[in-house]
Amino acid sequence: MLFQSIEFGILLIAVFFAGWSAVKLPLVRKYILIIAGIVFLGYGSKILALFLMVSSLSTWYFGRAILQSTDQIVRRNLLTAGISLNLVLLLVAKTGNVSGLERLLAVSPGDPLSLTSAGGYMTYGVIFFTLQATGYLIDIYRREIVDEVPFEDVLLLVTYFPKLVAGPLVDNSRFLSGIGTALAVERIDASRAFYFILRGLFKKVVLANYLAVRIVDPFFNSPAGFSSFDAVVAVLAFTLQLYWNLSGLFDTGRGVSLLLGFELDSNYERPFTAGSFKGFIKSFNSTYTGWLKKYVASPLRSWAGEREWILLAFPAFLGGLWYGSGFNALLLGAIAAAVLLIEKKLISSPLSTEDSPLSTEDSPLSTRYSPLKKVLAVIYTISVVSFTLVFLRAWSVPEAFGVFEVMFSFRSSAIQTDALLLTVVLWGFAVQFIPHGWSSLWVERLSWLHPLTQAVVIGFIVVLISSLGTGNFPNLLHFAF
Amino acid sequence: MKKAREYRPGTIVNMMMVVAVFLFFFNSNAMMKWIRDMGDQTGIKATLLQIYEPVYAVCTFVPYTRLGHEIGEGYREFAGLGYREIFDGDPSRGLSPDDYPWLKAMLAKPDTVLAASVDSQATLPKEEEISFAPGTVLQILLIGDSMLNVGLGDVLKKRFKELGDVEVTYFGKNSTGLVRQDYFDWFKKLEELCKGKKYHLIVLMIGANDGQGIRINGKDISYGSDAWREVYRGKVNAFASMMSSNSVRFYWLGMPAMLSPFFDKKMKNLTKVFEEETARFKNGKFIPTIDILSNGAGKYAEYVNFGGKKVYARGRDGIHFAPGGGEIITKTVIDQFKKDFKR
Repeated sequence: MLFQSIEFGILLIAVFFAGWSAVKLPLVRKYILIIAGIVFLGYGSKILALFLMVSSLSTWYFGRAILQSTDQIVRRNLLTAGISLNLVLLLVAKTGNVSGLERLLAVSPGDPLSLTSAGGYMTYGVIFFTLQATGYLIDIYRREIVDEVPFEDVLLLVTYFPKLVAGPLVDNSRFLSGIGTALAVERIDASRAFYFILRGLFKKVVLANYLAVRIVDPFFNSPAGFSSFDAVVAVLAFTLQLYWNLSGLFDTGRGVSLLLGFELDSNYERPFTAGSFKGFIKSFNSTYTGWLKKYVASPLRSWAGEREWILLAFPAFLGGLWYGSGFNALLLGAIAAAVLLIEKKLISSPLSTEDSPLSTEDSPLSTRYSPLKKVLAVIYTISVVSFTLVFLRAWSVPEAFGVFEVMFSFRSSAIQTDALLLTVVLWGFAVQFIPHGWSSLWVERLSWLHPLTQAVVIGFIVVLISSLGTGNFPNLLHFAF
Repeated sequence: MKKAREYRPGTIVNMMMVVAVFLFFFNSNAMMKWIRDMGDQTGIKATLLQIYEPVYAVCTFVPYTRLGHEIGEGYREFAGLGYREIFDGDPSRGLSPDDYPWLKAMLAKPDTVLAASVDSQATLPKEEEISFAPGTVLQILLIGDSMLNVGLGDVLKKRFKELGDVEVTYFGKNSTGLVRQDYFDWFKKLEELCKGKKYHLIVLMIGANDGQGIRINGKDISYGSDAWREVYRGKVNAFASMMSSNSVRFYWLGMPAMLSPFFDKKMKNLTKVFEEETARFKNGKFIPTIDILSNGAGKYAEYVNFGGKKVYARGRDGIHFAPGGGEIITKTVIDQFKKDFKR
């Protein structure tokens, strides 16, 4: 189910109404949310709903077994089994067509039920809920969670639908301990919730889809038909499209979650203001970076010892595999790792001081460097990120090189970029530098209007977004192997 | 600074209902499209249609109730996004003026060129001798929709130029076709391109956006009906006739096999019309692309065998061409050109 669809609107109203009708029955509310998660994912693909159920039920089972066991070897085996099951689900979803699963289920890559086609876009959810489940099991194994967690709470942690599509990966302990508080909330900051929803829809439906339809899809389908200038614009546009897609979906999910009483962590916070590739990685999908730091880099640290490059390269490489597809993913991960290593060796980043891309230190533009140096650092970051992402979007490695060939052939005939497209791309990067604050001021003011007036304003904006939205099936084929 | 005001769930439910009602009336087109696009196995679709279609029909003359659609149309034109029936189609075209009489007057938007051409039978032009003095620069016009623009047009232009003594005029416009003359009028465009000029060769590839209903003199004709076939044939005939009289030779390229079986069937039907109507003109040549871009059996293939090699021929959307596919079609076109225009 897409966040921007009428079906989702109906589901949201139904869940909201049913959930708050059962406000005195927290257990019933939890189950309403769990069922909503399964319906949300299952509406697009029943197979994925099955995956979600298997993941959540097995996570509860293995989590409880690890908690109850005192034998360290048994605990480790249970952890391995639980993680393996989730990784298998992740791999199957990512390799549905390669592994033959799609043939077995008699779906073709063009079928809406396909795990790997554009119609199977919800596969994107699998990469989030399997990691969430894996993290929970590790937390129990490390005894960061020591009390037995109720069955329905574990299911809710894994299936909670506002975070299924674009994250965030929540902190397990915080989410679980916050369930009670969230369900007891009696008043809701609705204006902020609606603001997030509208902002997300605008990013996804209007901005990202505009770039996809106007330049990204036509260009990557057939780069040879475009000029070098178009190639540069298309590559930058894809970087923005990806950001607006993911952050738009996240914003919408965050708003929906607020309506349901749960405050989600912020994510995708102005990554282009980072003055380095490392800074970009840190802030792009920060909860995923946080997950990597906690569950991959920390265990690696003792093993890596003096070989710091492993701490830089390995998580970056994993990130490439997680986001990317096929051989492109290997190359994407390798390039990301190489850029980080080169940055560490050769460039004393002007905007960031810490070495690890997984560090949580906030960057960037407040440090001691001159404005010119900051501008150059930002241009460098956007360029490197955009070039790297060509391997995420191009259909194959040779085609990725085909993109660069067009870009550096300096062909100037038949330029298809117009003023509007160029303005949107430049504005998309520039707007990230506007400080936070002004929007919350307006949201606060809006919240003091009569609810009916607010509803009319919101209704008008939704109609506007719907009409400016260019219908486009999300092209996330780059996700699957 | 005041803290944001928080609301009870009951108030928020009311707000949501207001937003839903707002959408229900001010975005009636989107609502109608959503109902029409639903699967119809459960019977819910039929019920919803029964309830909402009369409301929607009333919305067609109540000011502002199609606000979203109107804003969207203006925006698409301004942003150069083109028209795609699947997303941008106007659902009011599916309403029957017999059920809702006011539509007869309201939806009238004459399709001028079409009206003249429905029953027209182009006069067969006399075949011209294709002879020209050495050194003559051959004038070639390449036109079409995104099927030309994506993966084919550039290759075609390049290979023609490589032959030497050739001047190529190129015009391709995505998301267009012969059906929606109100959106983009290819007849007018061809007239403009041919003004004061006669081409040696016109190459056309068009039709990907034509699998949709036609509106003629305010009446909607559903895609696939007998009336539709007759009207569309008239349009194809009229266009072929224009190309015929403005060129020494014209090539109409057929649509290739498509990935989606539903879309493929549509395109095969259209291609049959192109072939039959082109055959009526002595200087017209229909060039099929189905066989050269499939691995036997005329089915869609992403990779095809060509010259002993496996060539990546089709874009990942299952519709357009990858440069490899463009090269294959180009070779066929150039071979035909060399046969027709011997130097």
